[in-house]
Amino acid sequence: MSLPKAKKTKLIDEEKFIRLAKRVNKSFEEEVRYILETKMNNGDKLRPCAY
Amino acid sequence: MEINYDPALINSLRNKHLLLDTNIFRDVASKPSVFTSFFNLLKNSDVTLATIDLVKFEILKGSANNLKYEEKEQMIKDITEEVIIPTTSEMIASVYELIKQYGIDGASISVTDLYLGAALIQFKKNLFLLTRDTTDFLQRIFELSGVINIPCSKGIFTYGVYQYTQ
Repeated sequence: MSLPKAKKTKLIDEEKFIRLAKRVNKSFEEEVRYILETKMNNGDKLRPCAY
Repeated sequence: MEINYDPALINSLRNKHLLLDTNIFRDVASKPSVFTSFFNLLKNSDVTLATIDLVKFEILKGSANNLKYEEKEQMIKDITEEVIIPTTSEMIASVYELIKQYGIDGASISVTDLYLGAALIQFKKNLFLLTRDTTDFLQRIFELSGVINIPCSKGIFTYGVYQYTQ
């Protein structure tokens, strides 16, 4: 079996990508806060990292 | 902030696939400008950036709504151009084999890392892995082909580039 290839290599549009990544980073931070709050409310042990 | 790496590493990755672990996508989201130029350098050097479905699952889970899910999906797509290494029955067999090889060292390894390792085993010299998780990919099993450092305000992030050569 051979490895899949991209149809045509496309470079990342830096400006557009940075805006998107910042929104994604906020989602990750929201998820980490949710995990920590849920675990604290349930009295669970906290892991040092959410992933 | 600049990525420090041995230029010879880029040459060894040329015309190969580089598998991205979950922690790479998370770090991209927090330091997008650093990674964008590095990824574009790799793309210009004929390196195909790829991942596996299990990594996508780890990134996408926990999305609070559809928009946030789609934003994450778009971020993965912008980087990998939808190159997802398929999970095959051979890979599943390699996961069982890896579990045996890891022994007690595998007690805390994630299932995703086992599948990433299995993909390396399946595609050997054509596939490398980029990960910040430098303790779960044991060097008695995988070869550390290179190290990439990113200095940041709170210290230095170190990434390993691994390959299966046995």
